[in-house]
Amino acid sequence: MKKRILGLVMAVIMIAGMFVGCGKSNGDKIVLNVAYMPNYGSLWAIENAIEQGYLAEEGIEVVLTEFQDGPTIIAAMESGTIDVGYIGQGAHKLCINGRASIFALSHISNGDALIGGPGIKKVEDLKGKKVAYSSGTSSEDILVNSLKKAGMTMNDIQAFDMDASAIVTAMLSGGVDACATWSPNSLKILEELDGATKLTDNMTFADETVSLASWIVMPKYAEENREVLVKFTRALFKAMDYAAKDHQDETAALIAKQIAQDKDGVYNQRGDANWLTGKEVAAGAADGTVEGYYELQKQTFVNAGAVEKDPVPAVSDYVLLDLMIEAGKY
Amino acid sequence: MLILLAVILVIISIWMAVAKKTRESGYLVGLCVSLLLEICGIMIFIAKKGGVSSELLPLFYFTKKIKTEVQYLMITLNQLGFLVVLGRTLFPFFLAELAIGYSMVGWVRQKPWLPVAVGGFPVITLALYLPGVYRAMTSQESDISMYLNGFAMGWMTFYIIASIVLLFYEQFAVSFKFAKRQLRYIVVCLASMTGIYLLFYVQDPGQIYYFYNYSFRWMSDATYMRVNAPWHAYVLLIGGCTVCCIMGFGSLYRFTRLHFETDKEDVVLERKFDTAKIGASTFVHSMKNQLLSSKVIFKRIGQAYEQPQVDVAKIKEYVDTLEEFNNAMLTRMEELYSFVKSNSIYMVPTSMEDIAEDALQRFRRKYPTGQIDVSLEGEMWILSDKIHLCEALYNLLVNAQEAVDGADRGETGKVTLSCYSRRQYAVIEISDNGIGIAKSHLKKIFDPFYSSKNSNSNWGMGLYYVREIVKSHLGTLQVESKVGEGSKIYILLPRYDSYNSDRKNQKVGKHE
Repeated sequence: MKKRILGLVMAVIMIAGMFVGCGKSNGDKIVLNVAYMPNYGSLWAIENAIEQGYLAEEGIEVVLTEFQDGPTIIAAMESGTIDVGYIGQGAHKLCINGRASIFALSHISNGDALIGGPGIKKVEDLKGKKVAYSSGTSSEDILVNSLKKAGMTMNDIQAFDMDASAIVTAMLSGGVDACATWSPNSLKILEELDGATKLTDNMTFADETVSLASWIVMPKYAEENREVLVKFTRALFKAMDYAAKDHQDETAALIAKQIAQDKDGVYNQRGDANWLTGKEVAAGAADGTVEGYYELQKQTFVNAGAVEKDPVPAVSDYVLLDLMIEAGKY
Repeated sequence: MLILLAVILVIISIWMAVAKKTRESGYLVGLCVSLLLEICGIMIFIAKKGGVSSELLPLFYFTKKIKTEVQYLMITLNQLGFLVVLGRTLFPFFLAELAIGYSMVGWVRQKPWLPVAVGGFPVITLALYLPGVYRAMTSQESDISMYLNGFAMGWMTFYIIASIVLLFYEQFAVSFKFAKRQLRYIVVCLASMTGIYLLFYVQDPGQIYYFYNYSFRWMSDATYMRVNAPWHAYVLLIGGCTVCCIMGFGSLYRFTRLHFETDKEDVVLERKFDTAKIGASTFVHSMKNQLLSSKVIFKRIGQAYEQPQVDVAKIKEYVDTLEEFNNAMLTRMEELYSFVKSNSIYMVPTSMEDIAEDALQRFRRKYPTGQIDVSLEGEMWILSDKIHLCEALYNLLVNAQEAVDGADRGETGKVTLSCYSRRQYAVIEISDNGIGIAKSHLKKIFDPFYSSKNSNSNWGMGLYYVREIVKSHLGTLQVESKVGEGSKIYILLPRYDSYNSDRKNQKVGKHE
C-alpha cells in the first residue's frame, strides 16, 4: 500500500513537473502580469487604474507581483514571467543598454537620501564611519556624489554593501553610523531613528541630474503588443490625472492594503516626488520635455561610466515617446 | 515551509547519526545541513529581491509578515552570498559521497581514492566563491562570473546525475529483500531532497554578491520567477517533493529505530546472559531431571542385586542406559562450556565449500537419512574460524530439519543449503519448507535460552550461538519466515577475494 502511495505521489510530481514552465492562459480579457515595488511611487497610478476602473474600460486585467528592485523586474521580464514593470532611477541604466524599453514616465523622484545617524550632522562627519549602501544603485550614486562634494572618497569611510531592507535594520539597530538609500526606506529611517539627519537628497544635485521613475517593457513585447501598451498607458495616465494632485489619502489607503503596511507610513511618502498627471506626461512627450529629462539622466550615467553601448543610443531608441503621445489622446 | 522542512530533516538526520554511527549517517547530516543552508540563503534572497507571486508566498514564508521579517534581516551581501555558496556546493558533494558509500559497483569499490577525489571540485569552488576572491576576480571582467558559474554548474550537475544514477542502479541491482527495502527509503529520501535542491541550484551566488549589479545577467533565470503562471504545478512539485521527503525520512527513521532497538537488545541480551538466571534455572532443571532419572536406574540396579537370582542381562541394560545418560550430559556440558569459554575466534582464509562440507558431515551424523539440496556457486573464500562457523551452520541445518519434521511433510519436506556470491558478500542461505516461525517469535529466536521446543532436549542456545558467531565474523544474519510455509535464513559474510588465486577470473562487480 505504502509503495502504491509513494508511486502515486511520484507520478503526480512528474506530471506537475511537466506543467512547470508552461505558458499562461488568456481568456477574453487581456491579462497583464505587472511587476511593482512596495512603495507609493510604484503603486499610486496602477492602484487607481484598477480601483477607478480605467483598466477595466480598456479590457485589461492585471496580476500584480511584488519585487524589491528594478533589475530583478527586468530579469523576470526576460524570463517571460512579467509583461510590464515599474523601475526606479538606477535600473534605467539597463534601458539605455538595450535591455528594456520605457513606455511611460511615472514621476520625477526625490526619494534617494544620504542619512546620518545620531551625532552625524554633515557629510564631513562620515570620515572613518560605517556607512551602509547598495552598490550599483542610486544609493551608491548619491553617496559617491555627496562624498565628492565634501572633498572625500569611498576610501574615507567604512563602506558596507547591503540590500535596501538590511540597511533599514542596520540603521535602526545602530549597526552602522549612516546610510544611503531610497524611499520608502529613507523615510522609515528618518521617522523611526531618533537623531537621524538627512544629509543630502536628489534635490541637492538637481542641477546635475534628474531622478526618474518609469514603466518599462521588453522591446520585443513592445513591438508585438503596441496596442495593448497604448491601452495600458492610457489607463495609467487617467489614474495619474486622478491622483497626482488630489485623492492622495484615498490612494495611500489602496496602496497600504496592497502592500500590507500602515496607511500613515504610505501617506507620508507622497512627498517623495513630483507627481505628474497623464496629460502633463503626454504633453511633455510631445514638446520634448520628457525627452529632455531622459537625456539629462542618460548623460549622468554616461559620465559615471555606466553605459556599455558604443555609440551611446539616442533617447528615442529606448523611450517610446510616440506611444506616450498616442496614449495621451483621450 | 521549505525552511521548516529542512530544519526537521536536519534534526532527524542528527538523531539517526546518533543512533547509527556510520560514515553514511554523517554524510546524511551534511546533506541535510547543506540543503538547509541553501534554502535559508535563497529564501532570504528571494524575500529581499521579491518576485514571488501571492500564491507562492504562503508556500515560502507562511505569511507576508514573516516574509517582511526575513526581508529586513540584517546580513551583508557577502554573508548571504556565501551562505548560498556553502549550501549549493556542499549538497552535491555529500550526495556523491552517499552514493559512493552505498554503491557496490565494482568500478566504484575498487577506487578507495574516489571519496577523497570527489572533494576536489567543491573545495576549488568554495575557494573561488569566497567573497573577497570572487569580487577581486570579477570586478574588472564580468564575463569571468559566467565562466565560474558554468564551471560550478557543470560539476554540480554531473555529481547529481551520477549520484542519482548510482543510487537507482543500486536499488535495482540489490536482490535481498531487506537490503532493497532499506535502500528504497534512502533513494526516495535522497531523490526528493535533490528535487528540492534542484529548484534553486541554478541561482548563482554571484548574483547575490552583486545584488543590484545592472550588468549581471541572471544565469538561466531564478526558477521561482519562471513559474508564476502555472503556480499550482509549482506548488504541487514542491509539495510532492516534501511529501516524498517526509515519507522517505519517516521510513528511514523507523528503520533506524529498529536498528537502534536491536542494538539495545544486544545490551539486554548480554545482561540476560551475564546474570544467567534463566540459563542457570534451565541448566539446573535439566540436570536435575537427568540425575533423577539416573537415581531411578540406580534404585532398580540395587533392587536387581537384592533378587535371589541376579539378572545380569537386566543389569547390563540399566548400566547401558546410565552410560547413555552420562554421555548425553557430558555432551551438553561440553557444548555449553565450549561456548562460554570461547570469547575469541581465529579467522583464516577458508573456502566456503569446506565449511559447507564440514557442516553437512556433522549434520549427516545426526540425521543419516536427512536430505539436503546443496547448491554451491563457484569458488568463494571468506575469513573464518572454521570450527565455530561450521558449528553455527550445523545448528541452522538441524533447526531446518526439525522444522521440516515438525511440519510432517513426508517426502516433500525439503532443506536447501545454497552458497553464492552477491556483490561484496558471500551468502549462505538455508531454507526449509517446515512449520515456519510466527512473526511474534521472530524477534525472540535469537535470545539465549529461548526455545519453543522441550527444554529437556534443547537448551535454547543454538540460534544465540549462531548469531554471536556470525557477528564475530563481521557478518549479518537475516530471517524471513511464514508460518506453515517455511523459513529462510541468510548469513552474509564479507568476501575474501584476494586469497583466491584465480582472482583474475573473477567477475568483479558482477550484479544479479
